[in-house]
Amino acid sequence: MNQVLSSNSRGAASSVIIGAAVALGLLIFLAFNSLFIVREWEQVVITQFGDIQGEPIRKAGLHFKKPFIQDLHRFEKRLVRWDGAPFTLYTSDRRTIHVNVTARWRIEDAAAFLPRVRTVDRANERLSQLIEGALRDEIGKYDLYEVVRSSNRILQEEIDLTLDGDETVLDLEMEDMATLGRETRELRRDSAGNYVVGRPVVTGRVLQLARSRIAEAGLGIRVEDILFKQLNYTREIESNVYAQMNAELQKISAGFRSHGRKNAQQKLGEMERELARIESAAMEQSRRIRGRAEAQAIAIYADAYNRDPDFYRFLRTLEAYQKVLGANSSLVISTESELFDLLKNPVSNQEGSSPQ
Amino acid sequence: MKIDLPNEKEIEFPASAIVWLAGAIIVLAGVLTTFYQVDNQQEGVVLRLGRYVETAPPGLHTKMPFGIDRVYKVPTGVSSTEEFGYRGGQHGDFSNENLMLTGDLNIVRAAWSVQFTRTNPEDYLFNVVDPEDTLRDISQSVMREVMGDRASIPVLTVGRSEIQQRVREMIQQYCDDFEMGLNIDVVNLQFVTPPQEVVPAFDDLNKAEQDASRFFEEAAKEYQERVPMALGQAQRTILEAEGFFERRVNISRGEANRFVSMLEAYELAPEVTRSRLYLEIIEEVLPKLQDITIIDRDIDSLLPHLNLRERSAQ
Repeated sequence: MNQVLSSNSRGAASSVIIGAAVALGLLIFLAFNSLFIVREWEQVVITQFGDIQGEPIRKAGLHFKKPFIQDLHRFEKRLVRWDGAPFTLYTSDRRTIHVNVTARWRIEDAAAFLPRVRTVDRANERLSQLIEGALRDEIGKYDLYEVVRSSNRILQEEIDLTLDGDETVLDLEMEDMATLGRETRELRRDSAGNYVVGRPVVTGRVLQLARSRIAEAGLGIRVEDILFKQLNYTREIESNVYAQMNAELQKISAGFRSHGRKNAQQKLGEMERELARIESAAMEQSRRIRGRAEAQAIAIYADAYNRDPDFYRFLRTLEAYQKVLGANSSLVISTESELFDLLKNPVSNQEGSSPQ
Repeated sequence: MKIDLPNEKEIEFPASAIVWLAGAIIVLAGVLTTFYQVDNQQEGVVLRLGRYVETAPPGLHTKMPFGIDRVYKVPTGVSSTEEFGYRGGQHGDFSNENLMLTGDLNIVRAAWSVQFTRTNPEDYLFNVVDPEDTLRDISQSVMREVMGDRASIPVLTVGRSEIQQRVREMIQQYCDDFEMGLNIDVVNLQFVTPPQEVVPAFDDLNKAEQDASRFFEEAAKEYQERVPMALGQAQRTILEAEGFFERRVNISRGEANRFVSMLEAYELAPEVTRSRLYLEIIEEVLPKLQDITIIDRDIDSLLPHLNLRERSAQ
């Protein structure tokens, strides 16, 4: 084309160029109106004067539509997040709980989604109504513990703790201690042993209910999961729970202390018993030994003195004189005593007078 | 289009400058959009006309220009952290995030962080609108589920590592189910505490536990001190008694021996010895006495008077 152009005159050439440019422009305009790119995370619905044409395009790449008369609508193919606002619920045991729920969903049927929902924002609005409704209807059938817990693990937990725990706390009510004194009820199971309540089961039921309602509404949305981002007591109840926890903790603390005192007293008692036993046993033995000593001494003395009791008495009497008579004594002696008999009778067989 | 340029130049159209310029811009744009750089710790996901073709590692790469190929870079080599119930270095009330119910329907406060990497950039880009926020939702739900299945005191005291492990596994399971392209590296419990209102009572529980063992330890210590002491004393008492035994027996033997020896000697001359012994003792004893009064049967009225006088004179 350019070769032809170069051999012609200038005016003719320029008009051809302009014509070509216009043609090119038209072509590009046409291309932009009929060719379109679908990216990996998109799906596209083609409408012609408002009527949906064929299946939604979910395959990424370059696609074609009729220019001008067909419109294209892009939608997410990815998982979208729905984040609900917190709200208040009642369980069947009349606990007021504060929940914040999120869900993940995707546009499963864009052909249904387009006329009934159209945008993600509106989808989130519809989901808020449907999911919250499903939650209210479903949660109200269960007691709080059936929504909070997932299994009966907690009933096992006390036993684990008892085994692991410090020996000195064995006497305490371990069940009360682990659960802060709250009774822990068993989650119901069916005959096959599967839980029929519990958080996973309940959220599963909520999900089912929400799904069926979404299907009824024909939104073209599939909810993949529903999760409790928050599940708490309402503020008013919280303070009651705190009071209860405090009371229970104090009870356990007191239990600990009195238990410690009990152990201490027991130990001291053992000590006293041990001391008494040791001391008295020693005294017993000591007396026995001393007794044996006395007995032997008596036997030895008796054995010796019995050889001449008279001489013993004589000697012993003299010894006694030595001890008994001293500076504080005064003695009155008769001249007839053995000491002075010579005073009167110088020679016992002779007659004589004693000097005065 | 490029082929046009040299011809136009040869002919030297007056508009050639403009065409030249436009051509140059197009060439430049072509070059600029052909080369792309993937930084370290990144991977580049290439879409050709919207369709995935390849994932490029770090380095300089070429692609088809003019937006035919588009590159989406994902920081696969960097781990990120999401925080729950607290924010590092920030003070504030995060009680909405960190207050949760335990299985015994009590309340605890827990804060944790989740560290994750974007291991699969295609999944990360193509499957979930907002992977990080989705991860946050999942993480909070999982932590509450795990806490909700456990009793309060074990959670507050011993159960930390087990909880971290379980939460990590469960979050990973969700991420895998949704093909989010994320790997959960670490779940780290920053703290698990009782709620503010219960902290004093809980602290007192710890103290009570220590008190309990202290009471016992003190008693045990006293026991340890006093019982061995008593044992020693008992031993001493017994040994003393044994000493007494020895002494008593020895002395009595000695005494007996002395007596027997004296007796044997005495029997050789009983009369004399008897008198001698008597007199020796009298001799020894009498001088020590305060006074001695010798009375005779014949004079029995005088001496007492003398005696009295002497006494009163003293």
